[in-house]
Amino acid sequence: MKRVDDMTDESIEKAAADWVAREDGGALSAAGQRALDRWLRQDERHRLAYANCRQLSLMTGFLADDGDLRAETAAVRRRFRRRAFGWKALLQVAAVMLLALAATWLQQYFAVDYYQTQIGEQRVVHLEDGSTLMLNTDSRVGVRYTRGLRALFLERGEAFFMVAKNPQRPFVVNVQGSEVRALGTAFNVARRAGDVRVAVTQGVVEVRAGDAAGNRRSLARMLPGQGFSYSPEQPQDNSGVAPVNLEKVTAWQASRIYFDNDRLDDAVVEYNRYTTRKIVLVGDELAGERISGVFNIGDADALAFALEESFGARINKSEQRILVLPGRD
Amino acid sequence: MPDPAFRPFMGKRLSDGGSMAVSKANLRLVSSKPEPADSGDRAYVEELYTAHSAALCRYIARMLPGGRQDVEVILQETYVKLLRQESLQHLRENPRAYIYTVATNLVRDSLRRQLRRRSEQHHSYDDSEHESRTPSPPGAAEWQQNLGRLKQSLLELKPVVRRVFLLSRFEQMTYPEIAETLSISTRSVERHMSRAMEHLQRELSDIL
Repeated sequence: MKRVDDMTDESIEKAAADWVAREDGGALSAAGQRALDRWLRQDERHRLAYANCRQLSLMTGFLADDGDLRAETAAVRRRFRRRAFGWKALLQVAAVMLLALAATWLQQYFAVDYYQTQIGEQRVVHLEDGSTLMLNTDSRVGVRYTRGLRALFLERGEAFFMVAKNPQRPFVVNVQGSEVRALGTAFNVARRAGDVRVAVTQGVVEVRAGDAAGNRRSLARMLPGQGFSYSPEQPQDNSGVAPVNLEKVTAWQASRIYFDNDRLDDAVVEYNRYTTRKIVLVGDELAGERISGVFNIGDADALAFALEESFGARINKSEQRILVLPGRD
Repeated sequence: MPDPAFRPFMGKRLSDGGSMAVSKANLRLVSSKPEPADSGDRAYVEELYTAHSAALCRYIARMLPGGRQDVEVILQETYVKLLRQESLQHLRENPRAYIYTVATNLVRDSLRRQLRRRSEQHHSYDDSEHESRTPSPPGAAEWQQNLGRLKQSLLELKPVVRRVFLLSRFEQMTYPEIAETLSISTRSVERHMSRAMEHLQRELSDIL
């Protein structure tokens, strides 16, 4: 037996599609409107097909910030902009000025503003919407604001985001194809050796990434005090939502590094992010030792002193690097 | 026991439908679930609903030309559904699209029920095949899946058809603007829009 839903046959689907296409073009006359109403009144199946088209059209709107689909329309608009530049020479002065204005607007529309820091540098950026961005050492963040979306791109390093609430304009941090989404929130995103680590200090944050089939889906939803790490290439490979030590995660904002029973080799990697004068652990003997404490970023002497005191390590300093050698027993 | 989330009807429209007839109509409220909306959320939903209800009413009436009563029921159910969202996040992100999606789902549900009643007069009734699917609201797991399917279907479109459709849906460009951007005629834009809708209906018939 035929399912009720299958009763919309192809000719009805086609007619409904035609009506919706005409209606959305905005060129439907009053007579056209009446003809559409007549067609809708004729049969329930007409109405269902029309409602289905409306539903599909509305659903498509929810894909507006899908990267793959967005890329295509953005490319088309960029091409449009280039063409506009090509005409410029042929047109009269007034038209040139108008086009230049339009081009400037388009450029602003698509331009990504980049903010970056060198090793050891930190930077606070106030964005036009009232949100604030703090960049940690050796980091780079792109910002592109459009009418409906605040898109940011963490290209390198680590940043803390304090988001001004605006429900009409989602705030999305893109990291290697995955998305960290927020509404009126403060959160930290760090790229470390292929992993992305998110920690939330305020509000609710969602992480989305594409699965094997290329569908974008929600990976995690976090509340304040929670964190989540994942690999953007393999989003299934993740830590799950877990409590995080916010003091530790946000210590860098006060120019501090916070070690909490960390392995010494991990601690050294973390410390070295902030300086070009790298600490080098010589040999494996000390690598597994545990270290706790708060250090000022860039204060190598304090860290070296702590290593001397706690582990009996020998320190050999030069302009370029600080060698940490196991003690002679 | 009246549901606390149930919003009183607007008096103006009540008078011609008759209050008894309206409250008798097939409202399918689930009263066991606790009211999630706090007063702030509720005020927000109220405000949105008020802002959109007149246009929404016209929109629904076009698809349900049968009677005012049906339109009222859909409006009510839309309002109740908005209030019953566990989280207003999706609603806040895109209020208009969200409200219209909820309402359109309800209209389609109602149309399917009407069609089913009609077909029952001609065929023997098989319960399993006529089970009503409750359309999932934006944010639900099934909704996300459906969006994934929709994306796949969009990717199957011919590139020019897809571009036209997406420029219209995402960039709110008019047909003449799209025509100029892509160096095609306005008439072609309309044809491509229609082709896209046709393709999506066919490909996604099982989730519609």
